[in-house]
Amino acid sequence: MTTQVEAHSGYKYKSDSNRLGLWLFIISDAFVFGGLLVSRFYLFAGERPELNQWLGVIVTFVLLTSSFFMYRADTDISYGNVKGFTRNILVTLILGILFLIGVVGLEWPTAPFSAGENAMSSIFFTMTGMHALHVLSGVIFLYIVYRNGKKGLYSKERHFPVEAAAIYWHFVDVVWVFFYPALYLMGNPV
Amino acid sequence: MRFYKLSLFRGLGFMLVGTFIGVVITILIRLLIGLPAWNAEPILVVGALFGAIAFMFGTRVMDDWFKWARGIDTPEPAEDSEAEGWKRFIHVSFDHKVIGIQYGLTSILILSVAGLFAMIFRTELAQPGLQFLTPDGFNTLISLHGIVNIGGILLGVAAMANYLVPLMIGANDMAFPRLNAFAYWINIPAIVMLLSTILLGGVDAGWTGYPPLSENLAKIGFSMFFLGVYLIGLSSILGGLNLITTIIRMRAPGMSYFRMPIFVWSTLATMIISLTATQLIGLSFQMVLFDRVFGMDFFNPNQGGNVLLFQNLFWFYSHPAVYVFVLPGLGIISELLPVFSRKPLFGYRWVALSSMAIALVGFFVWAHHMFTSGMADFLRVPFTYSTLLVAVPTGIKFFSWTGTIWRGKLSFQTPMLYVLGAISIFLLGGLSGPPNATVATDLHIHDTYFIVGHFHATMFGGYLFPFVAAAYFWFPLITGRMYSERWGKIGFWLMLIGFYFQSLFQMQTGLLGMRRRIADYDPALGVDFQQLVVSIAGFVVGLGLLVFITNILVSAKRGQVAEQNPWRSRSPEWYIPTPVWGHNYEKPFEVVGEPYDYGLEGSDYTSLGGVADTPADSAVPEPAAAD
Amino acid sequence: MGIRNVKTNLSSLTTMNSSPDQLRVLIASSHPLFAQGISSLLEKRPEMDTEVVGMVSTIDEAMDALKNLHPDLVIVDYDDDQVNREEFLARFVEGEGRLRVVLFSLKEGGDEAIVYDRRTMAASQIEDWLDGLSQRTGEPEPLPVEPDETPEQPKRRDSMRHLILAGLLVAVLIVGSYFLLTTIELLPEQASLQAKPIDDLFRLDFIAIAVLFSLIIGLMVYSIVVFRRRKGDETDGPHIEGNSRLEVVWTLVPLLFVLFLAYYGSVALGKTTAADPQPLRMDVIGTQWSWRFEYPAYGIISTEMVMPVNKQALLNLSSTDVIHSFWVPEFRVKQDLLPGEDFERELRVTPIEVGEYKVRCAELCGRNHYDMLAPVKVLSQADFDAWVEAQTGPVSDDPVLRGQAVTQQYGCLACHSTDGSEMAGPTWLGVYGSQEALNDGTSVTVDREYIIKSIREPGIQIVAGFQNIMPAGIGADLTDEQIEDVIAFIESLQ
Repeated sequence: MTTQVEAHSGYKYKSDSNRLGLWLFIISDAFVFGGLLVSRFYLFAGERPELNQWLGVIVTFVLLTSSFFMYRADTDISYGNVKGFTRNILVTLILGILFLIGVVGLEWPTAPFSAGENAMSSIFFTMTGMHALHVLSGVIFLYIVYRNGKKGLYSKERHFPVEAAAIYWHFVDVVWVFFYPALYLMGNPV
Repeated sequence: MRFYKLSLFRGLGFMLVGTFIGVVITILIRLLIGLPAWNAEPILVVGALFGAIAFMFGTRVMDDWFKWARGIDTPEPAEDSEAEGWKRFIHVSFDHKVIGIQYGLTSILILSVAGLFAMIFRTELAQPGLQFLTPDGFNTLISLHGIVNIGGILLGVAAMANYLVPLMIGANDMAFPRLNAFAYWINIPAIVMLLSTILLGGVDAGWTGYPPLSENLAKIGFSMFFLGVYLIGLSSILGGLNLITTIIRMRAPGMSYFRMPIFVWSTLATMIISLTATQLIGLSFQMVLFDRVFGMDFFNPNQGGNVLLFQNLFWFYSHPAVYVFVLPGLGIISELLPVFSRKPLFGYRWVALSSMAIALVGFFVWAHHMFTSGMADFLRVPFTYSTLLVAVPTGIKFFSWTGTIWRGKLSFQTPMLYVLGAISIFLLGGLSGPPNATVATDLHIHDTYFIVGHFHATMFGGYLFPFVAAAYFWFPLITGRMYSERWGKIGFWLMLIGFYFQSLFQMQTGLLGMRRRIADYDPALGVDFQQLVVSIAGFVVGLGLLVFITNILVSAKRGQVAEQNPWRSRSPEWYIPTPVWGHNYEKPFEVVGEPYDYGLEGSDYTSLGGVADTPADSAVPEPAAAD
Repeated sequence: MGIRNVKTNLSSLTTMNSSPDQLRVLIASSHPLFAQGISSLLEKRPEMDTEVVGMVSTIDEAMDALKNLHPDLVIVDYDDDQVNREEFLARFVEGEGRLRVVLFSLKEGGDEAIVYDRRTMAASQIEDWLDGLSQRTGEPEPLPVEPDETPEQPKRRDSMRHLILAGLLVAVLIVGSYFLLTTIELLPEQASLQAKPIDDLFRLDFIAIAVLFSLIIGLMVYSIVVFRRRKGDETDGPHIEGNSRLEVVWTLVPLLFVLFLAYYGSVALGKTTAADPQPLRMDVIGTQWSWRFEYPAYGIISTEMVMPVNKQALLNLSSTDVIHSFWVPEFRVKQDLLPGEDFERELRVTPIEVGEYKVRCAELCGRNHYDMLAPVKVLSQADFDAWVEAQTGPVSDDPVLRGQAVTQQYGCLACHSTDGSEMAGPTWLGVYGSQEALNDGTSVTVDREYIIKSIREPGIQIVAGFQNIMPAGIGADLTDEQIEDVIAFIESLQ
């Protein structure tokens, strides 16, 4: 029988604990986005802002695609394919940056209102802003993982940071899956 | 060690520089985007944020994380052992016991500050008429009294959980020691921000900070208030994450969930709330901050905003928060009663699950703080039902405690006195709950001193008395010395008697028409005498607390050296040499029995042995703490 | 010898019985004489309160019996080769319930029974223990039992006595605390129809509080006095872990009570919100830090809340700035005043006593929240009609008097004094025509234009040393004529 010290310091044990911690963090973060969603519907039940629908579709497509490449990267490294992993995570990262350019760089300045104009603008900018903040931190996380991957730190057996980056990235994606219809699709444009 | 190398001072120094850099950057950005260079509030907000981040850099608590980002592995957290004696506690440590003590001392410090505020405004309130405070000054003092006390309670909860849980479950530290240290240190810039509000115009909208009042007042203090609470909330969330992982993953072999010490159960329930609900106060305060700084309109009814949205978001956290405040203390009561009654905890499983039930039901009652707010009338009724439902698991606890001491063999050292006092005070607080739960009566007592009495009683009974009990109980474990039993008892009676007078008279004046948050009261109400008594009683309570603080600080240095396991507890932390420093358990232990089988001869809880096997007084000298 | 020791040891076993119920015994032996012998010994001792629930002779039967019969104690024939005790113990160790096993040997030298308690041995220890068994030559070692720590069997008679005495104490406390709660003045006079169901509900709450507080405190005080540890007594108390039946009772009974209380409370709420088909409509407008009462039916604006007795008033509540709250303690009911056009709220109050009261703002609204009071006058119907007459009489032709009325009604005097005293806003005494420094460094003459601008566009030109707390909507509230009257009033204050 392994002693507690040995049992509690193996790579697998630590990763399992880290994974639990990560999921707890995600559950906590979900409450923020949940609160924002609730606020949006509390204030404007049947209405939505009048936004650029093409832009909305494009950035959504970009983000969903990035999740696909993230999934590829995670799968690649779990089979030991470092080359594939490196390529795919770079693509994910680039797509993430494109998403940010689309939302913060294009949508925000061309929105039909300024941030402080009324309650609807406030909700729009805060929701997209909080989400963008998470995409940005995800991009930074991806860059760190990409660089460490290139240094050869990850292998088939030891690549928890990649898994963590993937879980986080997919979470950020899922949030957008809720935010996009809430902001762009549901209700009468006002 | 040179003082400027100590984390606290290094961090503060960095914070100053960081604030300055933040201010400069904001001015530059404002100029770049065509805004006038100076607008005090947004500039200071960014400055404060930069300052907080810089503080964390200055403490070096994040160093390992940056190493990992660069690909350097650091399996063991770096422990800087150069700081000795009391300096150890203002320096970063990754040891959960040191962090627990840091939390505890910081908690006591800021609770004393908040208590001082109370003594100031209670002096003002002792008689009708405005004697020496301005109305704005009064409003700021009561608001800060509220929020600083809440922060202090959260720190105290973290102190108990951090120090005790790994020891109780047989772990050598928490699951994430560096995150643990981070979660402690982030409170320092938060406290600086909260206290800075005094110099920045004050915060006179109550600790609840309702807009539009908290948005309309052009006082920068408000933004510091919102930011400070945000950071304290972050600490709460991260601490919750850490403790839940620790409890799930790091229990000793043989410790199934229903063989954990009961305090671990209450911590688990508490941290589930802490992890999730806290985000909502962050969100609500963030929205007010954005309204103030970006000119947004979440709560501006003329632009589509809704002030009730704030109240819903705010109370969705702030109600479960009160269970964060009291569940650990109730766990302490359940933990200590068996030891001082020499009898098993009555209905252990029911008590354990009652904590989880309280946590769960507590998520569904928030609107009882909003019965007069203008919320949908018909929705008030379901919230009455859910609110009253919380009484059922709470009642289970009270009955179980009674069942534990019934037919026991009670001894009455100071920790037990505080536990019994806690039960009676929490009972008083809890029983003043139902009038608030039923809407019709709440219409009368909402925003009066009845509520003030209700929540002070629940806080004192559910947090403060148990915290003092815990501090006295584990004192010999932490310091290797005994506190003064005589002064312990003196402090107890001062606090108990003072507090009963304070509570009962507060509740009476509230029923008679005394509102809360008022700098002066109408003599026509006929409550002058009661208010005088409340003020005097408050001072008596403060005196009792002073006795407690003095007792533990003085005894830590000069108390009699304590025998091993003076309480003859079955809990494993008493079976390692005291004072407990460094590695908790050299060898991992196994759980071989139930935790509370007092009275079952020959039964042991762990493989460390039973009460009869308590190791003799340890010859391990205290580390440099004893200077 | 062996049999005598059986009795001794078995009785000591039953004193360790944790539950007050009968001890259920399972006997495992393939020798019928063994099982029968033990069984009849137990029967001969009714005070041990045992029941032999089964006699088995193989391991499988024993495991089945464990599952189906739930014995508290299993007596295993140590000498019986057909009952493989090692296997039995090994399988027994995996279970979870409360259970003890006695390995009893009749062979020579076997004058002690081994008690194996599932709870006090971990899986790892059983191997060592079994090793020790197989090495022994039939002299099993007992587990360490310290005889002087054996607690006494709590006798049933004692239990009842304690409960009765404690119950008496609780009853005394209930009477005492209920007496206190009903004699001390706890509620203001009942001046509204809505107060009645509310006070009834309070009374029910007081009863519940008296009963529950006395129950717990009574039992606690009794325990503190009676169940103290005697000096020198280092032993533990009785090993009572719980009582499932009691737990269910004290879960269900409170549950039913709180459901009842919630229902009763909701009915009371219904009574306080009962609508009169023809109420007197009043608009109550709160502003930092004064009240304004408007009577749309009569076109009256008043700074005092005047109401006819026994007539329901339907209050339409709104705020011009921050959240306030309407409360007259004697009326009991309370409702917040919210800002915003779409956020008007209603409250119904039916005063039943002629008299004078005060409405007190009950939501922190800033600096003078403590002082945001207004008189409430409940008059007989006749007096009320007379008041209405007086209010709707011809308007004064003195602009100064008219202006003064406007400044009272719209809360100006909450911040601007007329006698030179310092308040939240600049005093008006002597201000008309003077030069004032503004907070942006310029200065201005306080003339007609300045006053109009200060009201229509509040906050643009603030006097130095003051914060801008002018109500944002005041410009929309006042007509040009009203502003002219206000100017006349200010001018008159020299």
